[in-house]
Amino acid sequence: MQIGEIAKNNFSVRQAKVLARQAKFANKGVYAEADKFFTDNEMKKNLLSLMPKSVQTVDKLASSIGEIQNIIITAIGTGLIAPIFIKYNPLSKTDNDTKTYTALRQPVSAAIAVVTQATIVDRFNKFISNMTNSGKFTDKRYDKSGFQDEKYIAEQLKKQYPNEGKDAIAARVKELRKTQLQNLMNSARRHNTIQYVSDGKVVSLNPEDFKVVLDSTAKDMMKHVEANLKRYKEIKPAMKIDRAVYLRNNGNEVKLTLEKLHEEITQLKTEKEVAKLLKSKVQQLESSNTHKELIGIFNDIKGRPSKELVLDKIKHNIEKVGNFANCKTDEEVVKKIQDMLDVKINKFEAEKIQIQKLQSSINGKINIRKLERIVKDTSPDFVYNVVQKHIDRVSKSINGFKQKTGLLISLAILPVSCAILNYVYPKIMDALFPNLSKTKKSKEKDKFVKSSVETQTQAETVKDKNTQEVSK
Amino acid sequence: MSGISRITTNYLTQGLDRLSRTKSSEIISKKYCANDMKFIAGLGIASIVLKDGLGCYLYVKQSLNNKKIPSDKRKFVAALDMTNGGLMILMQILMFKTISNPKIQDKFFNRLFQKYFDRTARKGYQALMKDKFNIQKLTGKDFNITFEAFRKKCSGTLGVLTSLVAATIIAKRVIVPFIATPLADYAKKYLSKDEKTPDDCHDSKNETDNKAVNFSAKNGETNLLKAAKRG
Repeated sequence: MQIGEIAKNNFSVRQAKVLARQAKFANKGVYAEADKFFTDNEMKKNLLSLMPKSVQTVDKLASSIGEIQNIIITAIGTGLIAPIFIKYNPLSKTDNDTKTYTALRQPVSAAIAVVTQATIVDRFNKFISNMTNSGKFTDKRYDKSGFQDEKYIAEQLKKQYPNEGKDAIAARVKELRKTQLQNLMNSARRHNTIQYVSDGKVVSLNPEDFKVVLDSTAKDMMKHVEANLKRYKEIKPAMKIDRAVYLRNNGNEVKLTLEKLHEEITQLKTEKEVAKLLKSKVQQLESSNTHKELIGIFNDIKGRPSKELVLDKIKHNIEKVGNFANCKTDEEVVKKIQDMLDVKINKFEAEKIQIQKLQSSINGKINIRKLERIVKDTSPDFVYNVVQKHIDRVSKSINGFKQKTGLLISLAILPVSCAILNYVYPKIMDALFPNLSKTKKSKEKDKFVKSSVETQTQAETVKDKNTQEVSK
Repeated sequence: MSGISRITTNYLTQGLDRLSRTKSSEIISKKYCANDMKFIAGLGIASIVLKDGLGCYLYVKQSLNNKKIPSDKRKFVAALDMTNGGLMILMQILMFKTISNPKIQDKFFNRLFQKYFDRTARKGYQALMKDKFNIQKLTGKDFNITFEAFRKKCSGTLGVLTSLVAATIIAKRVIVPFIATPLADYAKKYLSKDEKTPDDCHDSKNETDNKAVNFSAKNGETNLLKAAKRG
């Protein structure tokens, strides 16, 4: 990116020079670390594409549900559904006219809610988003300008490059975000804090706040290691030992069964047929009181999502049988399993010690490169994780602030929308449903007057007739 | 940007900046960063109670004093606002503690999608990722972190959707109006209890739509007739 181009994107010239110098190195692999962010995102997209349609639908719906859609869905419920349950409520003894009059208030209320909330609340949230992305908050816990939102950058770039297509803008957005992320990581190493340029000024996280970020990152790492240790010490041994003992004692039978299954599946053509066969095999085993370990093996194979992977898993299980066939006793099997697990447990214990050392080093004077060296074997992405933790904390702070401002705005709008409803609603009812908006007494009066006028008119007609007859 | 728009933006920016530097904002930020679910849930409930509580009070007060609403319907409109508001608060707190509760959400998610996220499925997807997308260097650790993050995102999404459908639509727009409407009959009596003269068309339990109001008339004529003829 050229300096002029960067400067146009709401960055100061100084900031633009810094970014341009660093952008020069972007393609030389110097910013390969920042690629992790995009490869992680890419992995999530790939994983989503493998998931069944129901999971994909849930994910799609989530990304499309935002503040405006929330307000509209709520308004549809208020305007279309609630009136039915007021008007046609069999439990209420109030007269129908009153219920209808009251029910029709709901759509009017919904329309006012959409207009007031959608225009004000949503705009407010966008305004706050713009403030956080452009570094307008004095308190830097709400400052996202060091790593801006994808949407915000896209909007800025669209203004600058109005003739470019979606793909070109997306590529520029990716490049800029990569640069920003790598800058944060580099500055963390250089200055031992999160530092970036925002609105022409250098912004640094103060040492206490940065220590909180480091502590939080170390805590997450420790949680992950402790969860793994628990799995390998408490959950996996029983699982693995039971399976291994079963394989040792029934190896030949299992091997024959799996080889036969391998043959059957090789002959099938489609994934559907494979899935159907495996499902029926599992059902057969369950209904014939087969050993739970064999059912477990078949379930593991059934869990593989393609024919190639199913065949691969069957081969893997056949090899496993061979692993324990040479063990003379069950105790030997248990020892073998324990030795295998101990390798992993020792690895996690070593990682735990490193993290404990990291945590004690954080309490002293912070030196990021030193901390990075402490955990380089087990957590080579330490600085990346620290920066991600900072970005995550900023997002959470902003969410909390939006919750607070959202409440204050809603409370402020309430008297206005209430006043509008009470002004507009009777007028609408008088104009569109005059019968409903009359009082019962005036309706009865009208009815009485009408019937009396008709009676009087009839009486006068009869009188005139009689008078004419008499005159004849 | 016009002058007025610029001035408004400046004032708004300054106002929000000042608001962000208050003690309460600092506390909220710390609690959100620490994922203090008790605080976050409590703040959510307090928001509901304040918004719906104030809304209920304003709507009832304004309906009662709104002379443009026909007098025979005014009390019922206000009564329905009152019962709606009260039930809305209770229903949302109930939904918050049940359907929107993370533990219940987890159980619900596991019932629907556990088979796509259990150990067997996870191993399968890892193998498929390596195979289909040629990511041979994909380590178990990297994949597990991404898989777990994806699972949390799906679980969170399902929570938002169930809250929207169950709490916002079914609970607030179906159940609440259904219960609030008959309750409004009682609330209306409560609102009318201090009146010395009955309302113009006081709706008693036995009143039917067809009951005519009795107007006394002499010799079959009333002033209303003359007025109607003149009109």
